[in-house]
Amino acid sequence: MRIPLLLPLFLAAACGPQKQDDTGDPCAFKRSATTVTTGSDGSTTATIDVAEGDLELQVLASRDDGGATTIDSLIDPAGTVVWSGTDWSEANDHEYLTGAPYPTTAGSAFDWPVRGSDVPLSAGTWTVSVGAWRDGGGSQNDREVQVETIVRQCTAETVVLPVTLAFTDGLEEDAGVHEAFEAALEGWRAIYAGVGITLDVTETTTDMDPTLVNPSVGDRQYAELYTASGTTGVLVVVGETIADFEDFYGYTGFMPGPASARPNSAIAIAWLTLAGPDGVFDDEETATTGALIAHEAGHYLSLLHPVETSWDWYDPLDDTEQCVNQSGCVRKLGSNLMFPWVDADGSLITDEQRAMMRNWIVLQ
Amino acid sequence: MWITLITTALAGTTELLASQDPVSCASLGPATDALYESLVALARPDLTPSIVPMRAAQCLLAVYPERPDLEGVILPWMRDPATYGFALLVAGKVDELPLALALEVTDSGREMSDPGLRRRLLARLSESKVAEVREAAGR
Repeated sequence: MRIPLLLPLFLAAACGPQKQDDTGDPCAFKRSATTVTTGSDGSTTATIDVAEGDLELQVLASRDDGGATTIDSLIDPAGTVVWSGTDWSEANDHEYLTGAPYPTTAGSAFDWPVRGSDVPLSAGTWTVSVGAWRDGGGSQNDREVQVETIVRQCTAETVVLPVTLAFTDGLEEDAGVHEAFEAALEGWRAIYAGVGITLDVTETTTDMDPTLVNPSVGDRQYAELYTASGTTGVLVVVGETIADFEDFYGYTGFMPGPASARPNSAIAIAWLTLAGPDGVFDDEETATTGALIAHEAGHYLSLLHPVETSWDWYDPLDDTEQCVNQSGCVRKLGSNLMFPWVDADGSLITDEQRAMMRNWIVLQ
Repeated sequence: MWITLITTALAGTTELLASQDPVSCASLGPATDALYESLVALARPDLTPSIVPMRAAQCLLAVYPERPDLEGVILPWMRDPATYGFALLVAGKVDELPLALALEVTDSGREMSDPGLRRRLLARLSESKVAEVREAAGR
């Protein structure tokens, strides 16, 4: 287990609330940024000021030198470790809660609370532990890690999810693809309406290569597009295929998704892989596309597969049944939106999954 | 016996390619003639689920780009609207093909029978990083 050994070394900081009341939004986001340096065990800490009434926080960690990061634990103002990545390792019931403790060079993200049952935020100074890693290797000391924190406070319930749907250059001229995605959007809207989430979709185009970079690998163009979208929400980029992952229908940058412009702030959707050899969407392919985007956006909003296809790794929720083999898992969980095999018939979202989605930093 | 073996190999490849998990071309086994024949047989536009022919086409391009008879499989895709999805797949991979084949692919794209699809296909080919391909697409 990694224990934070050093107090954060503040090398740079910029902070200040970004009130959105003037736009009519009921929520305000307080953002702050700092740079910390890892100690001899390859980890360090940063602090987050939480005020009375703050509901949700998100921590983002990244490095400018191309190395990998992790977010390892969260400590409340009383000094209690409310979450530790090592609590969610293989030794603990084969469950996982977030992608945060797994090293990535594209930037780490962590939300709290994640589940409806998690310890809520309380006023005071919270502490987050972050780590620096070689890409694919061991921990690294004396490395700078950029930490951004977002804390949300709302005056009323908001259930609107801002979405930017970006088509790669030229695709907007393909009427068939465009119509298929309009219909797929309606499918996505219907699935999320079932849990009270309304999509606010803006469509745009991008000159990104239609062979999309896997957003979990990271691409600065995703960050640029996220910034250009002018919103804090979900960015869905529609291209032909996903480079080096050509048989994936879609891929999400991180679980949870960053509510900030990052190289992994995107969901990539491979329209050509979905449409098949004729390049034309039939009704079933269109319906699958809607379910697929809803599934990938579910990951962005923190949801995990209820079971992985090794059939021995699970989400931490009580109302997604456990199972131990393919046939049993398909029978018990095949209708769930987050079942790893996506099809148009899988749109069920459980109450605890709904709570996780509503806890994502932009929603309530 | 030979037919049985081929059928069994095809069924095994189909099963792998139909997996709902991502499938790497390497997982299909060594690059044998039998695998090539299986992939050609599976890269059919009428086969469902459509992920099977798409994966088969991807693996043909990834594993057998140097195979002389590959052009006989992929060039017709570039001309037929019913295989426009395959054609776009090839266009997206054109830079990974041997130059001579890449140029033939581009020339065949110019023969796509549907004018609208032809325009979009050539536009995609003109995004190639290879100057000769861009030039051929823009002629």
